Amino acid sequence: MPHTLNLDAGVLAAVEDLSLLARLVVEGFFDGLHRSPFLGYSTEFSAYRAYTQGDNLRFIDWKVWARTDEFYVKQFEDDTNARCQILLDASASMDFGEGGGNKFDYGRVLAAALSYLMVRQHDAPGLILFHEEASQALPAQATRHQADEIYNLLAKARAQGRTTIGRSLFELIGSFTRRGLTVVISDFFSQGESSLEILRKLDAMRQEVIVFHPLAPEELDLPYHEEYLMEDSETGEQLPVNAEAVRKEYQQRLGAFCEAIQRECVKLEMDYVRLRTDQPLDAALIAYLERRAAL
Amino acid sequence: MRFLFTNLTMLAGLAGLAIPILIHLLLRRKRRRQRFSTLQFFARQDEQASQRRKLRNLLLLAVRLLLLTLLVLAFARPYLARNQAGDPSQPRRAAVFVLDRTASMQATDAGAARWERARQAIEKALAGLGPNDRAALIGVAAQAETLSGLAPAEAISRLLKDLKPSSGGGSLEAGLRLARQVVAGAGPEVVSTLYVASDFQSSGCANLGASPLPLETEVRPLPAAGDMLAPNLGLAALQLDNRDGERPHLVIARHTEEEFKTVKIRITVDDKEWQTRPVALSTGKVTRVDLALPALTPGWHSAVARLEADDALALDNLRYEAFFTPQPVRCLVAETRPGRRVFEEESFFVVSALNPMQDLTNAGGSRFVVEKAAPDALASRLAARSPAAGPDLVILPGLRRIPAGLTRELTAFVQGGGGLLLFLGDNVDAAEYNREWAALLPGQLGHLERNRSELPGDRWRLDDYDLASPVFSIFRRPGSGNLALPEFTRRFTLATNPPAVVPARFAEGVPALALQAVGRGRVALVNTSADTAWTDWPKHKTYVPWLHTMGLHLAGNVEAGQSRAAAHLAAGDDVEVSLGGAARGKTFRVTRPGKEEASVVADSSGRLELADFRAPGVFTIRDAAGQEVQRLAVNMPPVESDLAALTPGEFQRQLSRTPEPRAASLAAGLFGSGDSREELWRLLLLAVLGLLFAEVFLANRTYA
Repeated sequence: MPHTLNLDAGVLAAVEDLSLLARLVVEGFFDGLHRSPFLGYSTEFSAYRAYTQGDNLRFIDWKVWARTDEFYVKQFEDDTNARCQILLDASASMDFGEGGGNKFDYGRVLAAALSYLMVRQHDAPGLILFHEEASQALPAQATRHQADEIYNLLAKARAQGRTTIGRSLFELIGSFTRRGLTVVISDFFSQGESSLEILRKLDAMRQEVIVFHPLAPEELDLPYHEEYLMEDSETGEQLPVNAEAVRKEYQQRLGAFCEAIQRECVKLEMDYVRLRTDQPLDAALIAYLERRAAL
Repeated sequence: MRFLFTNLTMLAGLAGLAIPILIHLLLRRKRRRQRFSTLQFFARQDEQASQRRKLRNLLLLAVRLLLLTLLVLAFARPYLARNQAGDPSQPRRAAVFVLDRTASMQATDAGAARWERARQAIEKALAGLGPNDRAALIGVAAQAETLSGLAPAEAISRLLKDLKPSSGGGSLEAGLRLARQVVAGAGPEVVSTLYVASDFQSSGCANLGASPLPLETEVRPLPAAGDMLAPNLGLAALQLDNRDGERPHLVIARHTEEEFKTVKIRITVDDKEWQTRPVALSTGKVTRVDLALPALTPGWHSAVARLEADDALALDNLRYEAFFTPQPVRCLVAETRPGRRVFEEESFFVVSALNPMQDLTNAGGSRFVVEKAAPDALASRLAARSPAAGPDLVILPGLRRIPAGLTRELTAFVQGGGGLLLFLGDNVDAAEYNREWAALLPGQLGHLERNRSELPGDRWRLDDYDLASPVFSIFRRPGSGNLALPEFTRRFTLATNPPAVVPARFAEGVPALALQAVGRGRVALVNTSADTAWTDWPKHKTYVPWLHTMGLHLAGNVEAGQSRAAAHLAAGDDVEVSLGGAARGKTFRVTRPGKEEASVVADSSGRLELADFRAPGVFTIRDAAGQEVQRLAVNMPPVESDLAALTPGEFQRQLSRTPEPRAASLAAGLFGSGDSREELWRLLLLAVLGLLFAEVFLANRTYA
């Protein structure tokens, strides 16, 4: 069973350097694997196709032209490197959870670890932080410094605003013209079904989607014993809550919500991984690798 | 109807309402703010539950406050006093004043007189009464009396101005008893308040619980004492005669912890200063001073002792005494051995015992005047006697022979009321005695017996003596003398005559003393010698008192005509002075201490009913001829000198209340069965019970 270097989420959260953190997570995870999951960077010949106007003259196989007097263009493996977009929910509801169980921190580490993993696999990671709008975006590129760019963006990111999906985010997703892998990290706590709209949009854009649904232990267990005045982190709305009295009903409602998302994911043939933020990232990484392998 | 409370002070318990409020505030749920990712999974219903819970808590608090309030009100015993509708002239309140008029109220402490304090307190209370209110005044002295029934306050105020404290004691319990009667007669519509103006002297507060007061009557003490520990000395007793077996003495009582080492005493007898002396007080409560009176002329005497001390109560620093000095008993004693030295005379012991200070220049008074005569001269002396100068008692030692004519004179003397005391001796001829004095002797003399034992323990003693006999009355008190100690070595056998009594016998049953009445007189035969030849009795302590008692008894018929005993009364007591049947219907003049005279007619029993002997001092009673027939000394009761007092709180605690009447119906059970008021406490307790159920129901309700 792979394991992320025996580092729990709390320890990981204490490490501020996301590059180090991503490396620790991924390397630790791989140390536990019996077989290397890396597919390897392939520059091998893949296929020929007839030259068409506009093709780069660099890729014309001159030997073939010498034999056949036809222009053929060589296609290489690098064309098959995946473009992986990571959509991280940066709404205020993600900034919840005590200590290492904070969902946003957990999502950032997960995004950083996936970026590191992607770069190691010569995939092209990109990052989009979204809340009401696509607040910040880093286009997917397969460069060596792409991971560092992602780390920087993640380090500066703050969770704020609502999880309503705005037009800019839809436009951004609409630009995913190439088929690729999209990782969505979100709690999907939004009004109505706007968060599910993202998934439908991604499906429409023929993206392979992995949905990571992080939930803090406080959200899952509601470990309060007295009467609290609960304040919604996104809307600021306040509600007196007797935790002991409502715990059961709350958990039923939350479970139904999660199942609805999961059903939607199944319907859209997406992977749905529910993550408990006090648990290691192993499940997330395995899910990613399995999905990547099928790509 | 008016809403009133029996125990108004219980309303202080309403301060306890703060307790549930404090508990509510302290235990109120403090709602903490908690930022949460989203509220979409919380049911809005919870807010309603919270509001319901808040409402329930407020309701619970209100119920608990109401419960406590009702409980306190129930303990305060509220009631609705019914007024007679449409009759505004009915008095609404009745103030019954019980005024302590005992002697201790004359004390002055803390710079003011207790009496004035009490009077002013009553005046103040009277001033607070309305025009429809009524007041009654009860005075507590030796007898409690209703000085005024319910009347307007002005009438009580006027009555109070002329009122003076008494010089006697009294019981507040008697005053409360009268007050209860006044309250009961005030009518059911009247709310009564009982004011007790007193210094609450402990002696006057005995048995207070014996007169239970109605529960609804409020009792308000009006304390008159400024100092509960006021220092006081008092003359508790002054006795200048020998009554009750006591020698003349006075007693000073100390009722203070303060230092009074020496006080000056001045005693005046018959208005002449007799003695002024300092007296060092003992450390105890009582100092006894023995006094030696000079010889006083026979007749009535008065004395006043004054104690000079700066203490709280001046009244008890005076003590009056009245006493009667009777004529001495004139004794004629036969002396068989005249001419020798006095202590060798046969009558030496008898004469010395009857008047020990005879012939001494500063001799005190003695009850006996003794004259000696030879046996041969006795007959002529008796024959020449006159009732005014003649002897009252003849004492004969054992005579060798009975002189001629003596038997006749003696018999006439005794039958005329004289007393005859006969001793025996070696020279007595029993046959001659039996023959000559057969009418006088209480028995027949037998033969002479001798006890030759050398051992003192084997000699004869008085074995059986009757202390009930008047001749031994002086020995009735325990420890007053042991008549079994004297020893006897010779005696006559004696067979007493039936009418004679034998108050004392020797161990073998031989009479030692025989008494017999002859005519109006009395004869006593002592079966021993008059000197120490046959007995050592004259050397014992019991001899003198016995001989005095015997002499007074034998001369009793003579004394009875002139003996008087002064009366000693406590001030304030209603006393009937009885002068005997001979005084019935006669008019007497009573002279009071202020020299004021009043004529009083004795009733059919010889009692002076209308005479007032309540003021301290000496009273004299004379008959129409001006001869004094009685003298009385009236003094403040010594118990009033002790100013130790109860606090008003202690006084209240000693009072008792009448129990609630048993309810006969539901309405009576709820409101009380009294006509004048509707008690509400039962109703309140019912409400408390209902609220208790509501509280339990509310407290156990839970909200999601």
